Amino acid sequence: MNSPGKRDATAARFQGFARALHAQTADAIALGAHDANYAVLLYRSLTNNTVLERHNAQPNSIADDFGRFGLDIWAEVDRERSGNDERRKKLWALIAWRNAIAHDDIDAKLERRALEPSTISLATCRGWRSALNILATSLDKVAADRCRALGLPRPW
Amino acid sequence: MAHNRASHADSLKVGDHVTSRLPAFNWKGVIVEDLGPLGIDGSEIFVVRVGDEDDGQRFNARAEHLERIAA
Repeated sequence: MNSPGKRDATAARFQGFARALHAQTADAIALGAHDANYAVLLYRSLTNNTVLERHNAQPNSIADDFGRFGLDIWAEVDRERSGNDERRKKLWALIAWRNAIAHDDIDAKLERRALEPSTISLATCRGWRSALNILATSLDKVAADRCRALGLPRPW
Repeated sequence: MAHNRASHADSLKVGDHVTSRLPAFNWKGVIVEDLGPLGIDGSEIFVVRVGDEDDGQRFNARAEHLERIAA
């Protein structure tokens, strides 16, 4: 079995990525404003009390924050690449395991069948990491496409 | 939009009390996180908290839009 720390680190790195992508997308959209005051106002509104700052990067947290850009992020991510719906399930699984480790209630959650898979191995962790890498690529593209759809230059 | 990020970003850090450089905004807050050079043009981005730790607002701001003030 891989170390708990590695699972936590994978989840933390993905959360860092999601927050950074959200911040950059908000910045790109705000820079499209017609003056500095409006840009600051827009940037503040787009980043005010984000869910990703307070919670893990679970799919609904990502959907809430990227929804501020008028984006149904998971619908777009699923359209962007085949298999992303399954990769999103792996993200849920990783977050569930991460929370079970952090809250020290693995046994209770296993009894409730709240952890899937019920056992994890190095291969499981590598599979999660691979899935998150692909999801990150899709999220990155969808966010950039959203900026273009809003009439802005492609930001990256 | 003009950017002179180096002169401001280098001097700001977590814990600094800040306000907006833009006269249209009137708030005082505290830098609670340095997100790094995440701006599209490499500008330093900070998370600022305005108000109480629990109930306050937290939002991102570019370094060049922030000015340090006395605590």
